[in-house]
Amino acid sequence: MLLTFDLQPGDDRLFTDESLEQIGQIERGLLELEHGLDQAVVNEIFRAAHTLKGSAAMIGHRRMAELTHAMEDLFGAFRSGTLREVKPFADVLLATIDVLRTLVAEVHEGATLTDAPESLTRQLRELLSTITASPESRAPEPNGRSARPADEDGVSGLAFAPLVRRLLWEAPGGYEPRSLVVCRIDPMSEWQAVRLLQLVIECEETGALIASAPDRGEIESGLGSTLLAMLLRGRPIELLETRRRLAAIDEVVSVEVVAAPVAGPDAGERVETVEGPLSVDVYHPQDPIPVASAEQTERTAVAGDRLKLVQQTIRIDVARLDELMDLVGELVVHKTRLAQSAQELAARLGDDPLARRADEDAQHFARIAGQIQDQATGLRMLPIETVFNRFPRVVRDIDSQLHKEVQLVIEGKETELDRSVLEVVGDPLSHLVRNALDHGIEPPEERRALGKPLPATVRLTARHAEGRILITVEDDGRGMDPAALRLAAVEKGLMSSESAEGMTDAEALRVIFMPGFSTSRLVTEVSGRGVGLDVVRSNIENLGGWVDVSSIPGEGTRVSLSLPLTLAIIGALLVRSGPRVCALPLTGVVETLRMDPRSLGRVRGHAVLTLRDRIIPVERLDGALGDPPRQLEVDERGFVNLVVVRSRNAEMALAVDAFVGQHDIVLKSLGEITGERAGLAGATVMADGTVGLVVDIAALIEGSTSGRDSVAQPAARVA
Amino acid sequence: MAEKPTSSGSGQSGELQIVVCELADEHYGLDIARVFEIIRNQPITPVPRAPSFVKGVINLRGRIIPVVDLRGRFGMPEAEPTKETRIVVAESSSTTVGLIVDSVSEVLLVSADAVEPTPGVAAGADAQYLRGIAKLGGRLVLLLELDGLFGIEDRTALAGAA
Repeated sequence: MLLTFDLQPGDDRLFTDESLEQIGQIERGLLELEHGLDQAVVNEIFRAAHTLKGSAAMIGHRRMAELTHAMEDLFGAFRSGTLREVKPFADVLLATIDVLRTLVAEVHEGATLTDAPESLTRQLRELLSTITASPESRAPEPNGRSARPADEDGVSGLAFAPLVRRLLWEAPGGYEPRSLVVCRIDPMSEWQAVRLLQLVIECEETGALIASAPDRGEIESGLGSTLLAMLLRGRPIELLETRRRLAAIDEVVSVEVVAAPVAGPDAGERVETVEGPLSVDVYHPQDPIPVASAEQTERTAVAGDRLKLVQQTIRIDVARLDELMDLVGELVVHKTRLAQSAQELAARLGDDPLARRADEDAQHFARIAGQIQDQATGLRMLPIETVFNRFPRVVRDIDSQLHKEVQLVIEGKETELDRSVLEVVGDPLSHLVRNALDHGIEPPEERRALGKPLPATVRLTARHAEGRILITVEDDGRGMDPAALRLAAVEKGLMSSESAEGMTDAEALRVIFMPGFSTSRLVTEVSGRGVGLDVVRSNIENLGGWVDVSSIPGEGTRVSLSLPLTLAIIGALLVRSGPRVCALPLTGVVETLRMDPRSLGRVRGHAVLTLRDRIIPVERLDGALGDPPRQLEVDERGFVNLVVVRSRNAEMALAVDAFVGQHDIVLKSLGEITGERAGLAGATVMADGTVGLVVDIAALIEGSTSGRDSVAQPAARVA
Repeated sequence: MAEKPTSSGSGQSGELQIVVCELADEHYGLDIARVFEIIRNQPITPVPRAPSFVKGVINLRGRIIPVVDLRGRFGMPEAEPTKETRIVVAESSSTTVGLIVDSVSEVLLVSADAVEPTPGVAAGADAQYLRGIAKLGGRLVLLLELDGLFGIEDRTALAGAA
């Protein structure tokens, strides 16, 4: 079924981003609450659910709004103390989280993706009504629809519904579309009047305000209230921006925007019939905030600080950050050129005031450009938290499936890395965590028999080390036995028994990363569909990273990933090859050599280099990339320049015309129409403004290996 | 008439602004709305395994842009670059490209009435990339349709021919 939503183009991204953030927050909160009720967390998820409901209702996503509303009601029961334990509800609530994510995806897809929300909504409501039906519990009204005295909200003598009625009654008439905006301020705020005034002024400035209750005069005379109703020009969808700005004001707990009915004496009643259950709690706060104990005041203060922190950040489209990075790359190129020009000027003019000034200016410019580069790179850095956050849920789900008792410990989640790395590190990590749970951790009975602690621990850590990021996945499970791994490798036909015996224990552990090792075992639901650890390893290595494993039988296993902090700016060796400069990422460069081509050996007509007992095939770089054969440049002694590169375990020596230098480069796409380009990762702008090609070493070695095996492929000749 | 429906301009009433370039003594016109800028010839980095008419890539203020030799694309003999050689940076449906032309002469305002459909005789394999012919004071200007000229379907055809 096709769906349409009340959204401007471009707003769907905003809706999706914000909603997913709130859903994630609720999920984390629930996982935390499973271990014990914490009022601060309850308030947080209640608030998140509330906001989520509001935005879903505003874009007209009825199924999502209703499901969120049912969930929010259940949270309300935790908040009021009717419910004291989350655990019995955890499964249904987490299922709700999953369905909510699908519902958010519907906005983007424009089609129905799930029919689960209706039954889930019913299920949640039934749950709630069973609880509230029990005699000892404080029974809230089914939907909280009935009016309640508003005194506790500080509006003297005005119940809230009358507040709205008064607003609609007193407001000047008109036929243009209007919206009713209801804002709620933290009841513990000591600045109620200030906040009210901020809200009113914000709307006055946009020119949308028709009337407010209480009105500005009342507010200025010091009338405190935690509720503010405003009548604004425009349909709710046109007020997205206003709503965002209002919600950003300190201590504003909620902002609801609904279409206002045509003004009339009975308008107040009609608001409720029009809106249905969606704005109920704003009208009649279901669960009064309990009288604050000292502890709670402190918690609220913390929550308030967090709120302020959030307001000091802004969302930026990733495409704009990439564009900024492009421009910074350009700036850095020009920095170098400017410095060169200043030097030339000094050389030409000698000790001249103009030349001196140009030099000073160039240096000053270089310093600022460098700082901008650092800052711009920093903007793309995100804490690894965004990836780690998914694991509490993953562990919980697997745990309940496998019936192992496992606790997850996360360390260093604030460690920052570039989003380009962040995007790709999630899947390999998931794989490793699943593996640890599935194969590493023993069942509880076994652990008890062994006298090992319960619950078992899976530890996920991240930290910076030597300009790279080091991520480890550690478990205290059964560990791996090198002898058993040797045996398994031989059984699976991956190596001969002689070479298996020849491996050290550390090498034996690494067989788990060999293609065909982990794929052949029984596929379980948990560890995936036969995707092996070899894929994890090659994914990490493709990013210029490496994987290490260590294990002590009976005590546990640790897998470490080392990754570069960014993929956008990479260190590269620049070489000239034929008509162009090529950049070889340093992660794949082993060493450079200058040597007499006559000292190269030959194997089946192909040039090879013998380097400390290793036999390495030699190819011209431009030939390997697909250029026609030509003479290679040699120096005065007739020596050629070679770069030894490595990917996975294969090495190759690339013959190039000249070494240019070592630089940090910004990797860019080559675009579409340049055709098939095996062996190239992209392009980069060089210091002189021309374009250099960035070599994909892994692809180059792979392509050449397959080429060498084919007899039809003539071997490239060096010299 | 062109086999491919044109995206805009020709066939509509009103006027069309075109950038006129020279290519082997013939005049070609590009819709000015599609032209970002015209730059002097500059060092081009060749890309291995690219189609023969793709000369390589250049850096345009930090963007990497492929450069196409229009002579090569239309099967004309290649020419050495001169002082007049220009790269016209334009937008086709699939990408932003630089087009090498012998020279750029002027920008003309053409009334839609002056544009005639491409005659059958001119229709080689590339007739679909001509939007029409404009007659301007005795001169004939061939109006180019950039969409599809370097697209994916185009590349496959070229790969087959190579």
